[in-house]
Amino acid sequence: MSQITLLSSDNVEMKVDKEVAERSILIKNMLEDVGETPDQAIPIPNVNEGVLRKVIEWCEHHRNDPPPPADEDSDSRKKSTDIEEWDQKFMQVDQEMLFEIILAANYLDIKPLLDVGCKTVANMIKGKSPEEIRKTFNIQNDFTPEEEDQIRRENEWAEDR
Amino acid sequence: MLLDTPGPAPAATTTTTSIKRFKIRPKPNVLITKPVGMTICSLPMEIQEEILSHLLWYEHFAASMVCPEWATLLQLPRFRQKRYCIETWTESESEEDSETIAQEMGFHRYHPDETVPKDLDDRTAELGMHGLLGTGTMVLSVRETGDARVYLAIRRVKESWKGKNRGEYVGPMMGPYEEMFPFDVGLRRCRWKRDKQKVEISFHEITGSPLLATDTQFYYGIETNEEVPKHVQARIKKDCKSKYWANDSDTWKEIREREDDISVRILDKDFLTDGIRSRVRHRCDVEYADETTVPGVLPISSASIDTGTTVQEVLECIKEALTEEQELDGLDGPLECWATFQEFWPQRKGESGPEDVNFHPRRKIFLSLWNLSRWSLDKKKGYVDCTCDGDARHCACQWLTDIDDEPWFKSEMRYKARVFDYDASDDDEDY
Repeated sequence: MSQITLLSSDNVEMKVDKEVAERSILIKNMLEDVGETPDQAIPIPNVNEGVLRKVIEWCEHHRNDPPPPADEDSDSRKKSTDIEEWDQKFMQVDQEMLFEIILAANYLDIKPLLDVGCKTVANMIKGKSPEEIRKTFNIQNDFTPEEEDQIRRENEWAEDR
Repeated sequence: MLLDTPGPAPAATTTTTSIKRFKIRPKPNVLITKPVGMTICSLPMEIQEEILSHLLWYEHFAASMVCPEWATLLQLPRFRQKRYCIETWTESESEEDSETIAQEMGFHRYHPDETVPKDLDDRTAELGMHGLLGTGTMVLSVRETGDARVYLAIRRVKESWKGKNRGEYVGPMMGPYEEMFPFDVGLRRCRWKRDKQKVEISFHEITGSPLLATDTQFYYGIETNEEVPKHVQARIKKDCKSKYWANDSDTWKEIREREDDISVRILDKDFLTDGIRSRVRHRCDVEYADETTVPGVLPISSASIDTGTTVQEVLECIKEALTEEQELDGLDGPLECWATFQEFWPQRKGESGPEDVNFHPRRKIFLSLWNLSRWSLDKKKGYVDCTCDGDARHCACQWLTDIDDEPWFKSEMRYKARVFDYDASDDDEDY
């Protein structure tokens, strides 16, 4: 089986089966444009070594998965946050790595991985209060004072008058 | 979809309300350089939108309070649509009937797990009643002080049960609050006794959600003067049948033969403010007027509830009514009222509809009142000490002493069985 070499943003080369790399639509299209297996490493400028290794690990595990449906809407009605057990374990990483994987999946156009990543984050949101969500993701409450005033005004009905 | 890029044309009904934009820090579509300290807010908006798309409709309200970006994103049509029930144009809510309707018409009861409801032509279906009003998940608490709070009451499977997964949404809350709130409204979690610890109900305050002020109602009804929206007309022209309400009966008819407009049912505000007394004359005809009332259930209506009315305006209207209605059938003023919204209960299969078209679920919001603090107080005391002399149907003493200390919902079930020849035991299965 032919192999290609990927070059991470921190200049680390990684050999990977072409079939595995082609889980990325970006790489697949790139290889199709080139027409033959390139001798030189394919640069992946937005993804560092650590993240790229995780992405390749995912692609290797899912190398035989059927391609996702072309029609984005076809599965949209059945959105759920069910995640396969292996993927759940795969996503047990710190938040920064999780978001980096999501970004890499988006950049490399690996929709199923992007989906798993987004579902993982959605599961972290579910059942939490706004304050708990902010705390979980270290989000600042950056409604501007004017906006907070606006919301407060809109909610005046709830106050004792 | 980025906020600042035009998306696909929204359904006609969704264009009636503009998106209220909060100030959002500009972010690139695709990050070129790795940001320092990656956080969820560092992700491109399209990815944040994708993450939010995996939330269920009732989870939007908490998320909308997290940050301005999410508050704005969650007003996009793809999210708004998740928060509405798709009407079936039938009074029957039985699963079998709904499936039949769904097959024949493409109408279906919208399930919160779905993202974007579509009709037979794969177009986005028009919106029905807002999920907060149509699923019984919203609880409005109005304290004696006039302070109001809005909560979401979500039933989740505590354990694996009936093939459902742990944590899975199992539907609206339709049970007796007094059974669930032993002491105070501050209680965040409790179990439903009858579910033998299988179902857990959690309460989430959403009073401050910006979505309450931006989500609006959409009403179409029979016997009103408002024109049918064009996209609805297009669907009416389909060569298929649907069961719908008429003045004298409900029946299967060619929808395209209909000439009467489907439009907004104008609800009478007096009915809301004078709800308890008014409802007797608004309920369907039975022999004894006293028996036309359901304990603890107050049908409300308001002229101010119309297409375009925001959920918040509905709540404001109800709060006003609750605080004005200080003497509820003998009670000396609610210490704290909890209100939840329930759709009209199912009709017996094959039964002709009552003549009172007010029963149509599109037009009717049933507000169930529980004088919670009073009830809690009474329960703590171990007895009921009211001043109603036993003749006030809404008084907690009635719920206790009516029939051998049965909870009030039992009498409601009997009422349903009596009026609609409805098998109350079916409901027990759902609890």
